[in-house]
Order: sequence, then C-alpha cells, then structure tokens
Amino acid sequence: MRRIPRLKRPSASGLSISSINPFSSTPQPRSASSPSKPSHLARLYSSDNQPVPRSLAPSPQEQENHVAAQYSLQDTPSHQYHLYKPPPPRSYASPSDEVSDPSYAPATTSAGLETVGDLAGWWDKSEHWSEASDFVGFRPREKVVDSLSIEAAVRRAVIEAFALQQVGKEDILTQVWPVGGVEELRRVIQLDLKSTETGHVSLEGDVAEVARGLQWEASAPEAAQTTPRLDSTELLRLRNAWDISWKRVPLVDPRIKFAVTKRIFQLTGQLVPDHALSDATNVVGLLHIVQKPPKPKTLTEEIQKEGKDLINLPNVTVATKRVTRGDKEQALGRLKLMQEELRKRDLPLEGHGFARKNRELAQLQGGM
Amino acid sequence: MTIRAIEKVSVGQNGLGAFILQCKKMDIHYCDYSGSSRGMNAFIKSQLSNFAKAHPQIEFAVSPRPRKHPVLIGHYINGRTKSICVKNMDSLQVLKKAQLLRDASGEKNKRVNKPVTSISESVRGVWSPYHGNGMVV
Repeated sequence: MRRIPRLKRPSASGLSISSINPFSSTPQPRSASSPSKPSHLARLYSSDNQPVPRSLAPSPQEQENHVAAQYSLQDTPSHQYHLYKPPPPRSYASPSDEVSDPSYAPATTSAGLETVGDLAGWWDKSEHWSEASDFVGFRPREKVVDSLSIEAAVRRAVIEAFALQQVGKEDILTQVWPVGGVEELRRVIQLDLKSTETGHVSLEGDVAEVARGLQWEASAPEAAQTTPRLDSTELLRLRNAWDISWKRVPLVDPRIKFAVTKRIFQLTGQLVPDHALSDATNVVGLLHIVQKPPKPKTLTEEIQKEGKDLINLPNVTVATKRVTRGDKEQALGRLKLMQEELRKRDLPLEGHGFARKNRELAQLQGGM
Repeated sequence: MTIRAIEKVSVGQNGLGAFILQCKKMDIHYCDYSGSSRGMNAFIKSQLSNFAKAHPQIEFAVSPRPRKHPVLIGHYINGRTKSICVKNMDSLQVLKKAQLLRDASGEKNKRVNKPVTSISESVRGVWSPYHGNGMVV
C-alpha cells in the first residue's frame, strides 16, 4: 500500500518527504562521485541508480546543500518520523575471520540457520504509518447528492466569488479557499444576493468578512476533513428567504465561472464536465448540471428505480448478479445433496469458480 | 391380411378444447456494458413488462451475463430448449424473437414439403410384403 504524505498546502513546492528514501531504515548520504538528484526530479527518476542527464544534474554547490540537508534530517529524526515508523536499525554480524569463538565453523548449507527477516511488508502495514501520512485530496471523500445541499453549495460558491470581485481581490479567485465550518456556511449563504434583468449583481451584507475568510493561511490549523452540512429543514427555511433573482446571476466571466465550479467541486465533489461548461451561463444552468441525479450503473438498478411494474409481476424474476450453476442447483434444492456427497468423499467444497481460469496468463503478467 | 396398428383411443390435438403453451420458461440474458446489448436492455426496460403480463404461463428469468452477447433461451415442456442470440438487434426485433420462442413447439425444425398434413390414420393401412396374395413378376 503506497502512501502519499498529507499536503500541508496545495501549492507547497518543497516538502521534507521528497528527500526521504523509503527503502532504507536511516537516510544515508550519497557519495559525491554519483550525481545526486535535485528534489524537483524526484518524481521523474524513480531509481537511485538511474543516471541524471548532465544538463539536469545539480551544480556542486547544490549537491553540498543537498547532502547538508540530509545530514540535518539525520540529526533530527523526529522531524521526518512523524509520518511513519521506521523499521528497526540494521545489525551486522561480524565477519567469519573475526569471530572470537574457536568452535565456530561457517555453515555450508542454509539448513538449520536462523532466519533474520527483511523489510518485506513493513511499509504495507497501516500501523507503521501515522494519520498525517494519509492523502488528503481536494475533492471531499463523500460526494454530496442531496439537491438542497448542492443548491446551498452553489449559492455559497457564487456569493464567495462575487464577494472577492466586489472587494477587488480577484487574484484569489483562482486560488484554493478554506472549507470552513457550519458557521461560515450559514453566514455566507444568508448574504443577500440579487441580480437584475441587465445582469448586474448586487451583494449586500458583510462582504469584506466573507472575502477575508477565503484567504488561505498556511499557519492556520488544518481544515476539517468533512464539508459542513446543514439539515434539510434549516436549508428549506433559508431557501425560502432567498431572493428568487439569485438564480439569474450570470456566469459569463470565465474567472468567476472557474472559481464557482472549483468551489462546488471542493464542497460537494460534483465536477462540472468540460462539455457542459458552455451551458452554464447562469446559476440556473449550473444547478441543472450539478443537481442531475447520477445515472444508474446497472440495468437492475434502473429497473429497481423505475421499472417497478416489471419486478412486481409474479412470473418475472430479476437477478442482480450472474446466475451461476450453483445458483441453479440451489434453486432446485440439489446443492445440499451434492455438498453432502462431496463431504463424504473428502472433496473440496469450493463450489463454482474455485479453479482459476488462465493461470498462465496471470503468471505472465506478473501474478502468482 | 394386413397388419393393423393398435387403435388409438385419442390423438393429442393441442388447441382443441384446451391450449397449452409449449414454452414454459424464458431466460433473458444481457450485459450492462457491451453495446450489443443495447436493444436487449431497451426491450427489458420498456417492453418486457407488457409481454410478461400477456403471458402469465411463461416464467421469465432476467439475469446479467457480463461480457457476453444478449441471449433469449426458451425452455419447452418436451424438455428441449431453443436459444437465440439477439446481439445488435433493436428492441422491436428482440420482441419478435421472443414471440418466435413463445410460438415454437420445442420440437426440432422439420422440413414440411407436403401440401396437406393429417393426423388421421391411412385408410389403406401399412403395406407388408409377407401378407396378401403376392404379385407375380
């Protein structure tokens, strides 16, 4: 299981984890003869032994700094070990000619020797990784599908984008904004947003405070993992108080449209597809796209939703999964008898599909 | 004297008095992802409910068969089955195939090249070379 360290700030460029070699228990300084890689090439060149092109090789001054940085990491191990638990340090047996025991004779075969073990599986165990090493993405873990919550998120995104435009901080429009808590959500969506027939948008309330809250502060405590939610009754009450003209707010400015769709993706996980972006000329169009219920993945899901009359017929059975030979035997009542007979003969009761098909192909592709 | 067959008490004539549909069960297999099942999926969604409602004596079993072409399999009361692959057909064509399976008797296809078929016994009886007066060649 590969772990990607938690990003403290999405735009952060230099992270201490990039200089950590996960295949050694302690960071080792590299020899000066082999050109060490700068941190920005760490993603492109996965192997340590792979040569770096001469044009990309760091200067001797950079190498010195790099080695110095590694030594400083070694001096302060707690700095890097907050992400993972390192394997126990290596111990070395003394060479056979330096063993003091006169009765010692080197083994000629491996039979009877003690197994020491290796790093196999160390990095795959979850207990060796801290919570801080979990990947935190821009998209929320759970996609919001509730229509009311999506509408609230859209309103929040629109208000925030126009608030930034109103206070003149348009450079923040394309940046990442903090998610905030329930209080922030409530405060933002209660602002008065109106639009006229001509497309003029007016925003009343504490606009400066909203814009201030959108400034990402690197030193601020980490944002909550879950997006804030309001219950449906409160959302309904709030929605009734909104002016109906807010849905006519134009989204023709590409910077505003980008900021709004980005914010909706961050809050709800609803990604507006590129081909649909041209349809979202105002809030109604955008709501139409993001509030569309997800397509059913299978035919049985669709039938369960819409084709109730088919399921209710007494002579129709709809299976959600493939009907196997075992299912047919079970329906006939023959499976138990077969299992009994198999048990009597000490034969495996694995049932249908226990023998894997095409084992050779799996082996060729690197499987076992 | 000619050989006379054992006289039948009755002759089965389905439809005379009572009609028993020969198709007892229909398996409907489809795939969720492949394009060849598009018409079949549309048939299941839109037309199968009416078809099944009209034929309560047939049991319909709808089940997915991933990565396979769509198939209709009819099971008959004589123990035989008849299957039709309905890949790339539209829903109306699939409906026609379902009607074909419903109307089939389940027997093997036989060539019918006589203009008249009858279930009545021949009045001449069955010819035998060992009986009668014989014929001088």
